[in-house]
Amino acid sequence: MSDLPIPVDVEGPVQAEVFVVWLHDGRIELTGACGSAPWMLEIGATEHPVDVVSRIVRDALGEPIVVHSTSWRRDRDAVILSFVVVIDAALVGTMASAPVGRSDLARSEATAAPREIEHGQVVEHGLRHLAWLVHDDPVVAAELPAVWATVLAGYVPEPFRALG
Amino acid sequence: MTDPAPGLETISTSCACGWTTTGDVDSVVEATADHAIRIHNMPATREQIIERAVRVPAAPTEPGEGAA
Repeated sequence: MSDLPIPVDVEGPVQAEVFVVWLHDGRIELTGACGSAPWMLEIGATEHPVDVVSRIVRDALGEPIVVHSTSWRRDRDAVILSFVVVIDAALVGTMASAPVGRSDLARSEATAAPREIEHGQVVEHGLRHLAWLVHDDPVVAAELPAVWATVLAGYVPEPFRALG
Repeated sequence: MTDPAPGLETISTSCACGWTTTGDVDSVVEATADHAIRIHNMPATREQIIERAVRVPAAPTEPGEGAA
């Protein structure tokens, strides 16, 4: 037993970072099991990341509308896979929630990753990715309620892109 | 004052996500293991949890009113 608190924390070479979003009065907010903070998941060696994220979200919150990987980067001594998960407002309950602000994207150099990537930039990229999917992916377009297309119109569509 | 018997002491764990729990060893181990696997897909053994726990000092005993 330690004298100082050592937080239990996700480890391993592949980790998922989940951003759970929902619409609150027509505005995108972040929520989840860890409130508006990134929700970290450990990905086992034999597990598929999308399966893990879908299962954990389903078990902890309820059935998600969309689960989509939107970027990756190197951080926390691991490869971090970022996911945007869209849920219905009915699932939010008492979970903490916060509005999503806008951020500039973390831009890569021609052959190198960005030196620093903030969480807000990962969310911005994820929502731009979702905005692109609404127009390009018939499955996402069919699953997301129509109001999402309106809300996401303010995000510049951008295809999948590695961040780091 | 004597220390509580092993397993009956009060300990506390915290998760990097902000979640915390406090109680006797068995209940803290059970709650922490449940949180780790259910919320973070992270298997955690009893030994790993206890290693990260901190002992919560017992509250000082107030002398009872009217005590001789």
